[in-house]
Amino acid sequence: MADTTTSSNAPPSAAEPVVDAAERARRQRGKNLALFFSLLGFVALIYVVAIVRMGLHAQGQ
Amino acid sequence: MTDTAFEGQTVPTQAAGLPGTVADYIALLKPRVMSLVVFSGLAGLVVAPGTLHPVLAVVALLCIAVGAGAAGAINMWYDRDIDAVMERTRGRPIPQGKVNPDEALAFGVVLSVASVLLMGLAVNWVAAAILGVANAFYVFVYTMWLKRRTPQNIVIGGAAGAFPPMIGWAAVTGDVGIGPILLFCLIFFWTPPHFWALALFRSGDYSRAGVPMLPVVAGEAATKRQMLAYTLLLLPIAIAPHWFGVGGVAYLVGATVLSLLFILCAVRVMLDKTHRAAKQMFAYSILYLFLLLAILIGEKLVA
Repeated sequence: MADTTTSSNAPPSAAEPVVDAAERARRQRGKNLALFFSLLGFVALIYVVAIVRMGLHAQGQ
Repeated sequence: MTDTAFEGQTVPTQAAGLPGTVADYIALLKPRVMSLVVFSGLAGLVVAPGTLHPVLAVVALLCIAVGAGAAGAINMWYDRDIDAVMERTRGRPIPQGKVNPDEALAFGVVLSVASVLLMGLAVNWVAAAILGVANAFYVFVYTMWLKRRTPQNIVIGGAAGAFPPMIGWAAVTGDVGIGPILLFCLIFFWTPPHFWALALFRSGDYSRAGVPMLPVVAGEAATKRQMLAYTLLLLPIAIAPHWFGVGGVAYLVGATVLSLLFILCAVRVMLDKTHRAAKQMFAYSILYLFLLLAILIGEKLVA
């Protein structure tokens, strides 16, 4: 049975460029990775700062 | 799809429906401006009396960088309408439709709050408070209040960019004395001739966008006189750190020579009928501040 749901739709206008799904996925993956590594770095930073501050506290500084 | 309109121009919110790349989000942080901000923060850190654990010093600089970048992102969100009109700024991610304005705002607010909290928890709350004030000043006082209302926008708003050495100093000492106030004054009085040199050869841009920069409102001759006045004022302010023990003899000599050259630039701008001297003065102003801070840092490290 033929799909008739799209046959009556107007074709996309020139003002709405076709989105490249692969490019969209690539950009999204890049942002996801950047966010992942940023959060990982933030956690590591908090850990290191905690160690340093505890060390300074132990030295009475 | 449009977000805002400005004098017939439209600002797309997201080009071709594609999400922005990581580079677009980095561009929101104004990395070139950030580099000078971080360098001035480093100068405050280095010349302050006392020591700070190297890890905490790096964290302090990171917070200054991220805080400044976050304020820049919020500035780009608020100014997206005029950025689309100005040639200098129309390539930014929001006018280009690469980043959604709401995402840019959220990005800026989250990073701004995170940088202040991290500075407070890792370093000290005095430095965090000054960082918070600097960010708030840049966003609310300069961007939202002054920029579109008065030709004195960058004179008063320049204070936002003058805070980083004070933040660096406070990160080490936990307080604010005469030293960081002098470094604050140095950048505060450097800002007007720096930005007005830019505004002279970009006055058409500012005029189209309706930003009342001094050359647009008062004309070129008045702007050039003001630039000369500020560079003359800057000479004693630039050498003052030496008399208060912040800089040594090398700084005194360097600051005097560099400030005299800055005055010479302003004189050349006054005599120049084209914008060539203004472009050169803009480039020199960046070098001027960089070299002054570099001498301060170098002298302290050598000593």
